[in-house]
Amino acid sequence: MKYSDFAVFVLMAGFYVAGTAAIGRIEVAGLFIKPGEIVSPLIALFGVPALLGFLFGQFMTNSASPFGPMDLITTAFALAGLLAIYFMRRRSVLLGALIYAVLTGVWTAYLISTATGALLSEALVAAVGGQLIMVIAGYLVYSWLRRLEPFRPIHAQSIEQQYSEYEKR
Amino acid sequence: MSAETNAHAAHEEHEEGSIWPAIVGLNTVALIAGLILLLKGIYTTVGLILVFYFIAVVVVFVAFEVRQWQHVISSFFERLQKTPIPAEPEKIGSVGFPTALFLLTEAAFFASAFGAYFLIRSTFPVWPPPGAPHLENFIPRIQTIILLTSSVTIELAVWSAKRGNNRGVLAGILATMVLGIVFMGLKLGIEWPRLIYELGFTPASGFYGSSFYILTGVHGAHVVGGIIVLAIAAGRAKLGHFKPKSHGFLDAVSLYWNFVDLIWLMLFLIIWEGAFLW
Repeated sequence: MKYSDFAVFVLMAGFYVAGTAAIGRIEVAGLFIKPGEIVSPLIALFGVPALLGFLFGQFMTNSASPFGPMDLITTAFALAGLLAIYFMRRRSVLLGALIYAVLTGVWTAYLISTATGALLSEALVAAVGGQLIMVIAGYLVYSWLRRLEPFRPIHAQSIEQQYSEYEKR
Repeated sequence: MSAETNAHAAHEEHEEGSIWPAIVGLNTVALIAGLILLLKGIYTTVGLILVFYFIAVVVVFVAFEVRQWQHVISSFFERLQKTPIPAEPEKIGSVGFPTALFLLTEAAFFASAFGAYFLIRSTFPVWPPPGAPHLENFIPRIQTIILLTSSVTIELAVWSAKRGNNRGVLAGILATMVLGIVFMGLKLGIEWPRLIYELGFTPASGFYGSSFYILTGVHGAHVVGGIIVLAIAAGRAKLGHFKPKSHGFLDAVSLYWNFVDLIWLMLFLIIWEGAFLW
């Protein structure tokens, strides 16, 4: 294990817990928003340690969910969505993030309608809408972070250049 | 070899082969025995003597040994530079065996503490028990954000060390220290006094009170320990010890600090947010 892997794990878990439990779930214009979800597209930047940290943070936060123990299953849907972000990171991070939002949003809508007795159609709008807003905001954060020096993929580029030079020889 | 060189070598050998860690370690037995005698009220005077004896040992240790650390570390680095094959004095990148072992013992300690908490909680039909005060979560929420920010600042210090930016290293460490102190200030200066003096919620307030103060107190002690280690790291950063390929101590400090942050996230969710409380 690398030191940086553990740091990424803790930071992702921390951002999820702080965003969802410390700041709290927000309802804006009928949309069900979990601010912690904003970090989900960052899986594309930080890889597997970030994915595991996010899942850990989400599992722990959902263990205190107002929807009860069924919310723990959300982690399974999140895993599928996060894997979509991870495996699509070289093609389209936004597409992977949208898949994540739809997967988790539909499940959360079902959860809300089961727990509160709300109409499934209304819950769908509230949950999927909220998730879409968060992942799009997260994608903007991801795009911004990629331009900053610590996260600019200069090393990968130089390795590719070196490899192509080696091939030419 | 001249007498002066021999004396110098013997001096350095003494510094690196110090007996003090063993002395302090053994004397913790006196501290624990003293605390048990004191807190249980068995032999209060003997307990007090043992506790003060331990404090005296620590004072002697600090007075005679700690002040030499700067010299010991500097001479170590100087000698490394003189070796024919330049060695890397501090392993970086991967977590070494001693650090991993230390982290495992910490994880085991907190796992047993959480296990005890859940075991006690499971014996109560209702949790928190009837009559227990409602724990406001406003300060813990702020503390969560503070500790999370401190994890970012310590990583900025590590990132700066990798790029040879010593000012960045020092700034990152100092920012982390300040955030840690603010965290403890909120706990000891606002939260605990309010609970104890306004609500009468003390460690003697049944299992709920004792488990609350044990868990948050032990975590707080780890934060204080982290602040002390950060102070040592700041001292070393000021001396320019952290280089792009030699900052293993800073890596280990960041690992410890992140671990303390992770434990807090779990504490916050379990104690204040009622995790697994269905």
